[in-house]
Amino acid sequence: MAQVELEEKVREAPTPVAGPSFWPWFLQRVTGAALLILLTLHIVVNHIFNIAEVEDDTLPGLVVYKDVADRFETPAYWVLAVLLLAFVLFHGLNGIRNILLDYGLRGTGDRIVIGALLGVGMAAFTFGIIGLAAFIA
Amino acid sequence: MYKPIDAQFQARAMRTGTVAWLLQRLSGIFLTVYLIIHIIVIGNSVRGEDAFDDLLGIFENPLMLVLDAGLVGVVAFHALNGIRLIFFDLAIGLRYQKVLFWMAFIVALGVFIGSAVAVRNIIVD
Repeated sequence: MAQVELEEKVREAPTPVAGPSFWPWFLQRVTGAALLILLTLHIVVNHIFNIAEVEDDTLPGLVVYKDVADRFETPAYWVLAVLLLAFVLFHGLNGIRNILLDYGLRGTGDRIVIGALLGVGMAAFTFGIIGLAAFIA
Repeated sequence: MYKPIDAQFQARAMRTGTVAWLLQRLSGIFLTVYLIIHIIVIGNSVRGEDAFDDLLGIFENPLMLVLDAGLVGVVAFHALNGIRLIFFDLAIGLRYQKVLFWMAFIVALGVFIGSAVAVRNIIVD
């Protein structure tokens, strides 16, 4: 069976070293595993544990500003939000680069893509933090 | 993860592993696009409570809520298939790759159906 042989090959392959191609691969897996927990919390907290009572809400149970503002009085929700923002941006944008690498992106093109994705990531992170801070202002 | 360039342009048989690989890429691109839109929409909080709630009101109709359930399903598939890929990197379970894909797919489908039922309960309420 081809997969059994492949498993042997993967097992016998040298341990990845901390070179330039190691860290994106490693962090993609670390953020992915972390997002499994963080995103589950995010979805459950926002759609199951809504605390604000809004009388004119046409469909009850949906997120309104006050829900988020009330929640952000607890520091743990801030930690969750900032970690989510950072991890999900890295995971998503690095994933885009991974796809381009699959299609043969190398060298100068790769450096341009890294620069562009870093720019988009940092802009989105800054914008996200400003948006989150608005809830506690 | 890294394949030879020319392999990308060969006709590939749509077997289970290829379908899993393709769905992981497509769901990843979709979720990244959604993420950027999500950050922009939630960033609308800088305009204050009323503006924020008015904008979120757009998403408070049955069609959008069903799409929300679909989003949760796509997230669940990407996450579960992602666990499958991490196991493969650790040389665990490659020989069960097909059944693991179908497990991820079926559980994600279950998450979608569960979310859709929750959405239905909100709408009917």
